[in-house]
Amino acid sequence: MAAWDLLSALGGNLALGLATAVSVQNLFYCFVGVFLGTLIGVLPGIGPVATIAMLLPITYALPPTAALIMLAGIYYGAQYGGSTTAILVNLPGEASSVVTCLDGYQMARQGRAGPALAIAAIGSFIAGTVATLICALLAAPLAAVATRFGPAEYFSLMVLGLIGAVVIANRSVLKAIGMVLVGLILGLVGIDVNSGAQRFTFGVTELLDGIGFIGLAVGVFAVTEIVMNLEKKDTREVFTDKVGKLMPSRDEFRQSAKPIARGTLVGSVLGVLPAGGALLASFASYAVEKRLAKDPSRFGKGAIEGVAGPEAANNAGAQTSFIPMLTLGIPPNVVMALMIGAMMLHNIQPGPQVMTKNPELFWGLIASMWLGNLMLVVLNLPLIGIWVRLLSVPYRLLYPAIILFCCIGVYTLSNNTFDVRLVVLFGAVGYLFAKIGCEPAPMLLGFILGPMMEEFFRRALIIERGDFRVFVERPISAGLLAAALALLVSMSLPAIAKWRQRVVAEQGKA
Amino acid sequence: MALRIKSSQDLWTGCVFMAFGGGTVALAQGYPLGSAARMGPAYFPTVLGALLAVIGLVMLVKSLGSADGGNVDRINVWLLLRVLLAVAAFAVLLQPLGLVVTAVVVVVLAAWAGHEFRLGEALISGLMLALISYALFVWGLNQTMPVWPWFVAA
Repeated sequence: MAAWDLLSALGGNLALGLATAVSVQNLFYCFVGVFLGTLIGVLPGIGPVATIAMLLPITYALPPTAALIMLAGIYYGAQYGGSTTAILVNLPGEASSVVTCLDGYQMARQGRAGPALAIAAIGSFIAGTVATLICALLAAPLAAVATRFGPAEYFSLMVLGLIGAVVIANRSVLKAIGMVLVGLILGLVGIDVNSGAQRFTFGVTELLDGIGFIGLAVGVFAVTEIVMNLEKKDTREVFTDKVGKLMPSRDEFRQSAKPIARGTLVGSVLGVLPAGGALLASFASYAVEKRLAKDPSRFGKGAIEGVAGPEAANNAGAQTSFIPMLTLGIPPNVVMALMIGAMMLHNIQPGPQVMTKNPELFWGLIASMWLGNLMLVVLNLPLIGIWVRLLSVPYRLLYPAIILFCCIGVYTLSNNTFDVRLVVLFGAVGYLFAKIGCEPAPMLLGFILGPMMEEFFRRALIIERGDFRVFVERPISAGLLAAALALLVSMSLPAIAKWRQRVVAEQGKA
Repeated sequence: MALRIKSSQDLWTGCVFMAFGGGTVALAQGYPLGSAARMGPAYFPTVLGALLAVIGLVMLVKSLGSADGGNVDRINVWLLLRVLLAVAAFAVLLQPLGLVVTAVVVVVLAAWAGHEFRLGEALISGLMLALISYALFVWGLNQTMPVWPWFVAA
């Protein structure tokens, strides 16, 4: 009976979501998002994070639901665009398409770029469909659990989320935790809501509301990335005229079916964990496919399974990483941190109450995930010629345009050049951090969570009159902290340390 | 104009973390600390800053003992400054000169930062991008911003 109720509620929710997402306006923004995301994501050297940071200001003028739908579209688009670049140019836009390079680029060299691109799109669509359903199924129960959380539980959950997110994907755990702390501190700049004290503002009026997160994100992602790209001389070999026929052969379809199914499963599970979403998913799926293959030596030489599995997995992971973001208000990766930032720009406080307070936004976003994926397939397969031509635009013409659009975007957010000055500052900071081996992603996660964490920390201790045992005496909070500790300890175990080194080394090769 | 620093990444990270953490703690002392039960605005920053400084110290010690942190490679100060100059030019020039002129200047400055700079090409792409951004942001998205230099607009 309970199961039936759950299902009918789900049906109703999805219907509400579809009704929201299918409105002409939202469909249009979903389309624009997917289109722009692919357009920019396809440009070599620009990953989804930089793409979203750059396009975020454009969405600011829209109503919140439309803005988030468009941003989600930008995210899938950028990710798919990144795969296109990985296959055709062997340049991954971000870490999660590193794996796609391995076999996708080899396929392109053999003149099979068309089927590689098509299977990536089809695999992503299938995975996206399943992952959307998983989001819809898991969201309500998770949010219900979360509403019972007190401040202590929230604080511990954020600790776990931050530790989990930094521990796996970073070369040095200690550095990453340090960067989280830097971000948390930067997040505290501005007026303290409880006391009204102006913290770390140095008398600058513009800082009273805190550091603008767009300025920070554009600085450390877009500008730093451009300087880093300009440092390397680029030597790319583009297979633009060898895309060939698009449709995979019957054999290729047969070979890809199971990897897509397995990739979807692996990706959906890993996406929810506070760790890497798409990144971890594609690495894990590649490892699974290679292990299960009859002839593992084909991998790295143009095996279609090596494209189909990871592409499905990274899309599934990208999708399910929305679950902790939407239901708990906790970003499992930087893209979700940007989404949370976008929600806050629209005065929506992320957390479990989003589902009850803004049901059209919540379910509209989930339904739009599926529509976005559908659009990707419909849009990309016929438009592949355009994306390919974009790849041949030289970088020396691209990056000045990116800089200009970033500036305009950041400016239009507040109609004030202060945020543009922040871009200058954080561009320099991001570059210097990159030089000393500190990644900006953990910093941004900390920055987004800083104010919330302080609030929960403060509230938990007010309730218990300053007794720090509250965090370990409440069972759920204790469990979450224990999990965070276990994660930290496990990373120093030799076997896991070795595995991590391998994953990080693979990333580094790109 | 490249700076060569022969020091490990961990060493610098340690220094930066300690300075930032220490600075945070020091600055926070200007606000009331409060107690755990009634936290003042200085409480959380002090905790975070102290933690960061400790991590910095550990990194510093580690950098002396183990070499797996890697070394800082070439810092292209000149390249960085030129890219940042393009962004800064936007911040400074937009109000007096308006979008169109600013866009051209930003694009040319940005192009100048790269190693394949051609003035003519940069000027043409700057003009085109100025028109595109005018069409997109001022017409299309209805954003209000100065479009022409102050002496023309007035």
